[in-house]
Amino acid sequence: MAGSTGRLDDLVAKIEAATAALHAGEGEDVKRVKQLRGAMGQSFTTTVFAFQQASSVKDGIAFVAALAEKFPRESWIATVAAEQFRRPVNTLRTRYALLDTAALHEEAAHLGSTLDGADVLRLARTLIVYYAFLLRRLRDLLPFYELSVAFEGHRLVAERAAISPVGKGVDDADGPTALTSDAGHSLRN
Amino acid sequence: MSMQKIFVRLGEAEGVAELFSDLAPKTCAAVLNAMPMTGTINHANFSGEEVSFPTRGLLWVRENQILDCQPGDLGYFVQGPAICIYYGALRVISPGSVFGRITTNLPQVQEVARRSWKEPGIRISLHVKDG
Repeated sequence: MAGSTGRLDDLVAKIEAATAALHAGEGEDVKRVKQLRGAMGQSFTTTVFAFQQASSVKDGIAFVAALAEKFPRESWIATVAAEQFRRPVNTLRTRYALLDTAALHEEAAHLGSTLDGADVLRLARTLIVYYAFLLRRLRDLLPFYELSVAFEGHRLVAERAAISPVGKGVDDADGPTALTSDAGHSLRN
Repeated sequence: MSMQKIFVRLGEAEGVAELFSDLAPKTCAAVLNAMPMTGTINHANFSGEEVSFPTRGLLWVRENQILDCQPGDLGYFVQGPAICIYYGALRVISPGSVFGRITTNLPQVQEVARRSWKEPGIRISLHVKDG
């Protein structure tokens, strides 16, 4: 395990550097996602599916972390971890152009099979933090406000916001009707 | 013993939060240890009037997890990991470790937090109160 500990330190440092890069800016992977084009030349579906895929991968890593925390002495944890780290590599690389993320997964998969429970937990948690920042960057590409308005219409969104305790209450003099008078843009904020 | 306080700057608004060192001692210590923290907020899509920003893994234990949050409550979401500001009405689905509450300038913070639903990318910083 001595050799794998040094390699784990190196990989953790690499993942943390990638996380710091995502904190500071968009990063190359997210730039590549923005360049993807799906059916009819649009990028909405590729972007939203990239977000969903990354979210699913993070859930899988969280599952590994939970197993490693609960069963730190079980030898099978390394096999499970390696497989979980390996599974999304091709999808991340070929479908979503998340090349740097896929490379991190590949290294984690190679190393994972040599680790004990504590080291699997450390690696999984490092990846979870990485995904927190990656998902935030991917989420930033998706205009949820505009999408919600397009989905439900200005009036309904405005009326729902108006009943919030920090918004204008429905019993206010100018009430929710006034709030919707400017195509949704007069929402109190 | 006076309560430990931190500044929460959200866009142009700055609130002061009191930390719940008695209810969430480990989380408070981890948050203080990580100061200053910066990022950009995103508005919650599901739970309601909540904004958050991702953080490093400050700690991996949960404490003072409550569903009935009050406006201005600060939470650390272990599963994120992320720091959350519960600024108004919401239905907490997956509770965070509530470690403090904004008690000064909350209306100004709420204004900015609410605006972030339409205007993502507003900057946030948490830092220790001077003096």
